[in-house]
Amino acid sequence: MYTNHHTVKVSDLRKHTTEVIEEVEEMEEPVTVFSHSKPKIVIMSFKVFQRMKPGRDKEETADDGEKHGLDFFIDPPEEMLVKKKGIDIVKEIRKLRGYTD
Amino acid sequence: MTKKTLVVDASVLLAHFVPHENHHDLARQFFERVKHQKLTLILPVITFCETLQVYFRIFQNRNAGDRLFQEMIDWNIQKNLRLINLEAGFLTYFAAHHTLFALKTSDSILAITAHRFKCPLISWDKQLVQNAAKHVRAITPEEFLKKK
Repeated sequence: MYTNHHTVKVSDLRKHTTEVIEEVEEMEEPVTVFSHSKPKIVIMSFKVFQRMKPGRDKEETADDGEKHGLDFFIDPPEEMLVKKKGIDIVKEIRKLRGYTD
Repeated sequence: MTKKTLVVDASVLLAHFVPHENHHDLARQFFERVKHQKLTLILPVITFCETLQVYFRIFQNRNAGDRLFQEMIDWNIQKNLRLINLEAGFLTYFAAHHTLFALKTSDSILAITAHRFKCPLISWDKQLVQNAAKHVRAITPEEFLKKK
């Protein structure tokens, strides 16, 4: 284990490159590489990089032509709508939480 | 620059999925405002679970429930929906502050999350809003939309 609290020493990166890459690949966050106790560079898995790419927080219309994430909540597809009458969301949640009102 | 954040209740996430619900139209406007102002929503994991449970209870459609889960995860990946794990750090904060609120556990978790992150709690549940408002800024989406 060469990474610790999302940091790794440059000496470990140099000596144990393969192992460090494997550890970083499994992590969900970027890892800061320290040299002489100072942060020098940040490395991350390709998966994390994809998530952080500019444009991810813009409108998400995927290859399938559907909206995702926040845009999905703004404009949910027809098949996701609950069309039953008489549903009170707050009452349903309060019932789940154990309120008896 | 720090992003503006709001803690949201399951009622806020679900109202827009029920067209006959009183809050349906305002729910959409709320999400549009969230997008326009680039707000980040904060959601304790227990509220995430409740959202899925209530949606399934009212719809009884497993595929739709799975899709809702996936879209919330996608929103989380977009970095605009932050999930709060109920881990040791949260537990310590909860232990220190839960006596402030006379609420059921799930509601307390929401109120304490808002207290911890010093941000407003948004819910359609007026009783929750009223009880939490003693110690955090708690408002309905309707009140939130009235502010520019």
